[in-house]
Amino acid sequence: MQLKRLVIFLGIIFWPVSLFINNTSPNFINYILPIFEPKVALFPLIFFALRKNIKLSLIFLFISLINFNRFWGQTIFKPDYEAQQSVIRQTLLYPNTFTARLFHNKARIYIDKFNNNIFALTDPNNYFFKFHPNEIIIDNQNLKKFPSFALFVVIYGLFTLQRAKHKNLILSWLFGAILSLSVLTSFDRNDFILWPPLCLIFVHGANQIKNKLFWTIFIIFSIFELWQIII
Amino acid sequence: MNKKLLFILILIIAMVTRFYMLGKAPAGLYLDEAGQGYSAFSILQTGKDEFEKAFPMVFRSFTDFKTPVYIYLIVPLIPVFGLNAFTVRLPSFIFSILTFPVFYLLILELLKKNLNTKYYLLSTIASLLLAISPWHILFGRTNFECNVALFFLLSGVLTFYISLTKPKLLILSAILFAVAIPAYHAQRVITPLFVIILFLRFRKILLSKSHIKYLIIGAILGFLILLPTFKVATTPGFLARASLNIFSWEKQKPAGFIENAPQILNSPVLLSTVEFLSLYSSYFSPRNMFILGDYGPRSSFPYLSTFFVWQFPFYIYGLYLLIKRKDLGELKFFTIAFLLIAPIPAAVTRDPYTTIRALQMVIPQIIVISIGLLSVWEKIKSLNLRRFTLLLFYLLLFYSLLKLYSSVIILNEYFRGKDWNYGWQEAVQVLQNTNQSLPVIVDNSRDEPYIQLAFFLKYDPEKYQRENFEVPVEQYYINMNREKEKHLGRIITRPINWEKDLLIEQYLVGDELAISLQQIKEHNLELIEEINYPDGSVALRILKTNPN
Repeated sequence: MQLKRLVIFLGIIFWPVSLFINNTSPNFINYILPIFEPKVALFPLIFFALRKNIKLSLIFLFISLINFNRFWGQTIFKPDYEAQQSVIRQTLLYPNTFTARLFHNKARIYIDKFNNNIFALTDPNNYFFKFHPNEIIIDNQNLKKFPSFALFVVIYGLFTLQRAKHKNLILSWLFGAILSLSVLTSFDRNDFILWPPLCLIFVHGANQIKNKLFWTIFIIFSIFELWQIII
Repeated sequence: MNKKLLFILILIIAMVTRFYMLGKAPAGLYLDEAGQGYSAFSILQTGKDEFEKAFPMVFRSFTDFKTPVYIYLIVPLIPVFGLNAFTVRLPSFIFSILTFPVFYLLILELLKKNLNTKYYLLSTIASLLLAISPWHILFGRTNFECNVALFFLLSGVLTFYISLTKPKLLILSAILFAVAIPAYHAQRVITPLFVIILFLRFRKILLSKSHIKYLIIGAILGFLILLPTFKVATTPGFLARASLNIFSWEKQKPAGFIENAPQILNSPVLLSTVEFLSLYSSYFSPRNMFILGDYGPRSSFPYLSTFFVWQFPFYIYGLYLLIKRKDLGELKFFTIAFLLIAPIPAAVTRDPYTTIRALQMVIPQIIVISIGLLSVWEKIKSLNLRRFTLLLFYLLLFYSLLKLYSSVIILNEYFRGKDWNYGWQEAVQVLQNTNQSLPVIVDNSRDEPYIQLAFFLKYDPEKYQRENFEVPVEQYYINMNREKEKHLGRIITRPINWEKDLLIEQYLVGDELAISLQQIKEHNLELIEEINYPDGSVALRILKTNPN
């Protein structure tokens, strides 16, 4: 029991610690309690819509509309002059307008940005290996969010999620957060809203794994990795 | 539709996507391709490579020691098609096409026990996805050894499974596995691991009275085929690529290394394990598979990853089904084993998501996507919805083919000319029309252009061997010293010496960095030709000095 508690503590502490160390205190508070952050205004709206809670959805829709301008300016829908110029340049390479327009058009700009975000947010290496070996340069702090060996626990947790008590809550939170973060120009640090559902999945997975050798390795590696973050 | 006809249609799609402009796209010929081609040409003409080594087991080349199978496959093609880009890329094409019947039959063989129409469909879908796979297409139309190696590995696995009921085929299986090992570096790890796993799984059958005789014959034959490889296996040449591994910290420290930190935090066990796990998991990462692809400009196409984005949901669903479903028979074991083994050689090297070393991964991942696709199809019961889904699938297929055309032919040619060393064929043509009595200095400060020059000039290998000496033949595999200056008759490749070279009437060849416009003006050089990349930037300049 003590061992499992230590495992769970080590599993969930990485993200807040690395976020705290790499940011100023006021920013840190904003990231862990993003109540007034317009960038994540879409999250509660999607979350409650997925939970089929119409009243709360409407309230958050109203709040989103108040913050609309500040939110819109930080989304992938903000006009991108450079990307548009690139589209125009590339259309000139094609023998006919149909193929040129099929692969290079304005919609493509938004789709590509959305895809880049959604695939980054669903990349296991983002959470367990600081995005290594394909780190996002400049735009991202590439934080260590979970111990490396937690990868196996989270995968197992996801695979057996059907058995989890609060699976609907976890899934609504997870999808709501991923979708709302995917429309941002940069989701870095605001992606902390993914910490609770991922922790729940980790805990669910951890409760299913009984192998003591695995947990011993997990603890040893995690302690050193945590030490690396702190140092 | 008739199963055979459907497969032939898929084969036609595979051929078109790989053969269209083979040798012309990618534009240019990368130095490794030229190196392999010229080594093959040299073997054909003299029985020795350009370093005078008779029939080497790994080719010295740029002391990167290339695997031999691909080079020996080029040899018989040169008398038929000549020494050109098409010929050196042809084995990749041939073996990528030969992979299709093997792959198709392998899936059927693995599902043999519960074979019915829907499994024919699985085999067909998987073959179709392989036919349009950007990953498999890339290595099916360029000179990379990995595709040939993959064919031998899959053929070995197929014949092995058939041999469980027809024991004589064990001999053929052993031969195919033995050829796969020296065919590509990654197979030195993958094939033995796979053979061990298959042996352990089927040891009762293999050691039974009906099989043991053929097992022994196969093992002996395999050993004999590998004997020349074993003989050089401990030489520095054979192990030249070993320094790329993540456990060697001489050239590069691993991710997570902290300067001046307590030694225990930089422990090799900790850092190398985490590094390995991160690299290993990156081969399963949807972000790498569907968005980023390979970072290398020659191992990827612009704006195209290793799989199409529309295949992503089927990949996730397929992975889930692969573990959950119990009716997949031996296919389940094969796919999981292959999925787990395939990224190992790539994950022990530092490069992130390297598709060359991990090409074998395309097979289980395509099977996974196909399982997902087939399962979705089976769930659709309404006839109208089925028609609509089929139409949607055809549209996706058409879109994927257009996307391939866009990235492989149009964008790759435009953006990647420099990476494919475009310009040397054109430079050789220009040089052949210049005054043949004047010497030519080709700048090699940043590259090894001698090999492309030798290749496109079809330079007599015997003359090349006489004019260039690097190491004694007996030190071929062990002496890693290199001679940078190369002689090809009147052509010398070395850095331009701006003091001495201007005093002699001769031609100078170099890129924009070697010969700038200012230098041309300053030294009163005569511009003979400027060769441009497809994007219009300068590839090479050919000039004549004016010493007077």
